[in-house]
Amino acid sequence: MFKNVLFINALLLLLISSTFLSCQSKPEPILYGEDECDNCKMTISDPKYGAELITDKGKIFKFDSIECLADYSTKVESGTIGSMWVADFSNPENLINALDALYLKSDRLRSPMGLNLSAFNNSPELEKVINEFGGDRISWTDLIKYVSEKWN
Amino acid sequence: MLQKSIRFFDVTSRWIKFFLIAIVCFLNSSEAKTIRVGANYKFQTIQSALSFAVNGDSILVSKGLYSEGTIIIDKSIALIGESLPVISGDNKYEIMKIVSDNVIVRGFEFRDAGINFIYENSAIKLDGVANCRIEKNVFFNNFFGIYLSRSVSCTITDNEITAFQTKETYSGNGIHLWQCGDMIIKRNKIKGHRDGIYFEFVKRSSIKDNLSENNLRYGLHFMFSDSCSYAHNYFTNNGAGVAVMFTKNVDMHSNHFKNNWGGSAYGLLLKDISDSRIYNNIFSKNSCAIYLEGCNRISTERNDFIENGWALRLMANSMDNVFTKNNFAGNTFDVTTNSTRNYNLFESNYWSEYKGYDLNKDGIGDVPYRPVKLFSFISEKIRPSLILIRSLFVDIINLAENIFPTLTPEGLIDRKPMMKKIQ
Repeated sequence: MFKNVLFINALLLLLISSTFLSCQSKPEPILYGEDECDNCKMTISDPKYGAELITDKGKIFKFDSIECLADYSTKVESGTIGSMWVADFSNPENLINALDALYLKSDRLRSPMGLNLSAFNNSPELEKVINEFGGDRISWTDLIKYVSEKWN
Repeated sequence: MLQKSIRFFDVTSRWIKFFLIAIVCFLNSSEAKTIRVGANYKFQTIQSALSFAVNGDSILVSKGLYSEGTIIIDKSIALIGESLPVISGDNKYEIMKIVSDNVIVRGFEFRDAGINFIYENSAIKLDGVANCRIEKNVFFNNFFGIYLSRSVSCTITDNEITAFQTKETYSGNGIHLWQCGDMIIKRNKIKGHRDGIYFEFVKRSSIKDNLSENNLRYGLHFMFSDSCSYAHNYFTNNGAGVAVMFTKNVDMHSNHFKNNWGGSAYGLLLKDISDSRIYNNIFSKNSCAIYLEGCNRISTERNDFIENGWALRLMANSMDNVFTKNNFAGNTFDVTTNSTRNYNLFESNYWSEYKGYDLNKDGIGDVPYRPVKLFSFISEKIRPSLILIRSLFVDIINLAENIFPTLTPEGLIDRKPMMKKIQ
């Protein structure tokens, strides 16, 4: 009997913890080659440019490029965005918060949707890439403006 | 006597000298010379022959293995392989870079161009050139196959391009065009790349008689292109089918779209396409034969949709598209949509699901046909409901909706359904 109660308690704990886990607004790894971009429908395949948007309710949308994330973020109702994440160009497995990231627009780094935007975690990494490939820094707000000018 | 013979010798040697000089002059003045490369010749590497060559020359390369890092062609020459010499990139380098106009590359095997994500290493890269021809080559295990950027009026014909990566992220495209115009891509076979053929910012180009199969993502992929056409191609078993996106004026005809199965796989994925024509194609055994989102003024005529999961998925933001004289046979769903209104025209198609009659025997069914079933409408909105497919419950709601249409788009109707398959 006691064993049973313990078992049920353990099960309950597992259930509760798993529900809490699913509610956190951490980004989920993008399955390159399998996941489809929620903005442009393309299969996401280049890890250097992946991006994610998590709504305030925890639903995750994935994108093949920063420009698709930017475009999508302007189409959803304001206030419903929980967080946004972009792949670090120099270390693509690492997703960084879109509002903390540093952005580069360089015609020699061709992103999947042709607007050639890439994201970096820190200034030294960004400088290194600018020295090699050229291009201009761009802020998140200017980036949003640039994408909506180009696509609308 | 001796004197005489010496004099004779003197005269002949003078003549020989004269002849030699004449021959050298002739060779120099002649427009094209042929340089041979191979183990038994003066030039043993392609690169050394190239630095000796001038515009208009031909370089004939004998059978063998050539591994010379990146070969740069900056002269208008013809590089021709005899019995398929192999040029290797040693899994490290880009193999060949062409930066001059009027170059011909024929009859080589290119293998092992190394993976480089930023420089997009290719077996052959053509940059800023015109009138080049890449023909009858074999490409084996390269990151990118043939890569053309900022080029015009080149032809890519009769090449066989094969790669073996299993992950999309480590694989490049078979034939990749970026900012090009007036290109011809003909009779190539492409297997195992990321996208078989990729077009980005390409104008007035044609893709004909190619076979694109078992590629990891799309058999053919258009982005931001204009006035291109693809015809008589065979696209089969590609990861996600064929995608045409953000493009205007595309002619798509007489192609085969076959066996593209999967959650995000399509025979043909159309996104933001306008003023295009799809005709005489065969779509068979795809998860979704054609998916249309944000598409305007597309005419879809005389295509065969056979045994697909969905024949057409037509999203609400598509307008003024015409679907006529197509055969829909044996599809799980003929048409689904997420809209309750319809701004597209369906007319004179053959539907194998049609159960009407033809009393006046004019070959046109007397009762209009509604290709969107209530259940397909529900499953478009609530995907897990698909588990109920083929159940009695679904048959009942479909029948009820058919008699009193309330939820399905009223206007999405074929008023002249054909009684017989259109030949």
